[in-house]
Amino acid sequence: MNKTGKKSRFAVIIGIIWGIAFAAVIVGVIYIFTGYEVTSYHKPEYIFNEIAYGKYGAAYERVFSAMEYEPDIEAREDYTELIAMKDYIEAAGSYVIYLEENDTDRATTAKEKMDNAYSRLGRLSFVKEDIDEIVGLQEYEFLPKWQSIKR
Amino acid sequence: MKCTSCGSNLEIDNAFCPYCGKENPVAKKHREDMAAYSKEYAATKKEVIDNSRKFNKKNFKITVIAATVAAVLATIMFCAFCEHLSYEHYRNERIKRTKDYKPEIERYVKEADFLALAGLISEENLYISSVDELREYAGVSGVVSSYRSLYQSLIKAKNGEKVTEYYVSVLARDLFSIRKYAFSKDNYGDVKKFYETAYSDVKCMLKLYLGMDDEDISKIDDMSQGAMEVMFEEAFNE
Repeated sequence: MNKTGKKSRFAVIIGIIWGIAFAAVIVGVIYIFTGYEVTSYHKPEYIFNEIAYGKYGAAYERVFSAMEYEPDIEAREDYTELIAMKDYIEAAGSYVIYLEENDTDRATTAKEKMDNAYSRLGRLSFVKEDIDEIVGLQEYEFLPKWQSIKR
Repeated sequence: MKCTSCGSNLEIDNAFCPYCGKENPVAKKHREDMAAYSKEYAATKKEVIDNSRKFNKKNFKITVIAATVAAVLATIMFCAFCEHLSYEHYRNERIKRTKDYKPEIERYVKEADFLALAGLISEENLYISSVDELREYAGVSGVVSSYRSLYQSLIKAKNGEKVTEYYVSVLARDLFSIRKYAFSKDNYGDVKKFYETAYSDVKCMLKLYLGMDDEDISKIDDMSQGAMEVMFEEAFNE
């Protein structure tokens, strides 16, 4: 290769390095300003899909993960019912555990949380029956003053 | 100088004697010498200029490569420094936020509300172990995280959802961790009661959601982590 060719190759290599660096800066700036989207694992439509298949454990896992990793999830309307479902699963399961252990104080608090979560379920109110069955709530017959006996 | 023929005075520039016309040999030699010097000067000058140009071209290439490498290294170091500063800022913000949530943390510990505390720690990204005022609650984050993980996996198992082998080993680790804190003699007061209640709740969960009987539950107190893993594998495969 003659000298002119060598000069051209050198200029091209240096040009490519600087071009890549410049392009990276441009892409980074665009990325910052084009807004943020939740990851697909946390998207509401996929979580609703889990619920549709009765996979409440997986749905719970995704909602918890979304609340942990995605910013301002609680403020988003499309997550309100899903968060209520997650709260209901936690409260209902805890309620059964506390009943089993005869822990009246914690059972009272858990029941209040259950009722609060149920009031927020909205379109997902149908999940109550399924979740009650999973956590074993339907095996209890409830008496006044938070006493209960197993059926 | 004098003409060798007629003896008249000659200048160095006189190629011939102006009086007798004889050729001046000194002037001839002078002209020849000057021509040779001029030629040698031109050649040397050209050589110096050529060498200088070559050096500049080489120097230019080296300078450009060095500048590029220096710019890349400076960018990497700057990014690392920014990352460090950003991490320090993030860490300090986490610690400050954790201090702000101290009343809620203490309340959840007193009420033994493990899932609510797990949610608070995850959502607000709290850093309990780094806050001096909450030093006694250093193990709380790990215990509630293990508790929540166990709860989630057991609900899945009860609902017939697949629990992977990885999660089975995680369950054993979580149960072992909670037991370690419950049996530790280093804790006291609300924190000790918190850990003991967590362990009690977990054993209740195993009974309710994994169908273990009281005899199996009682063996857990003395099991190794490996034995717990085998126990879970057998329970999930039934």
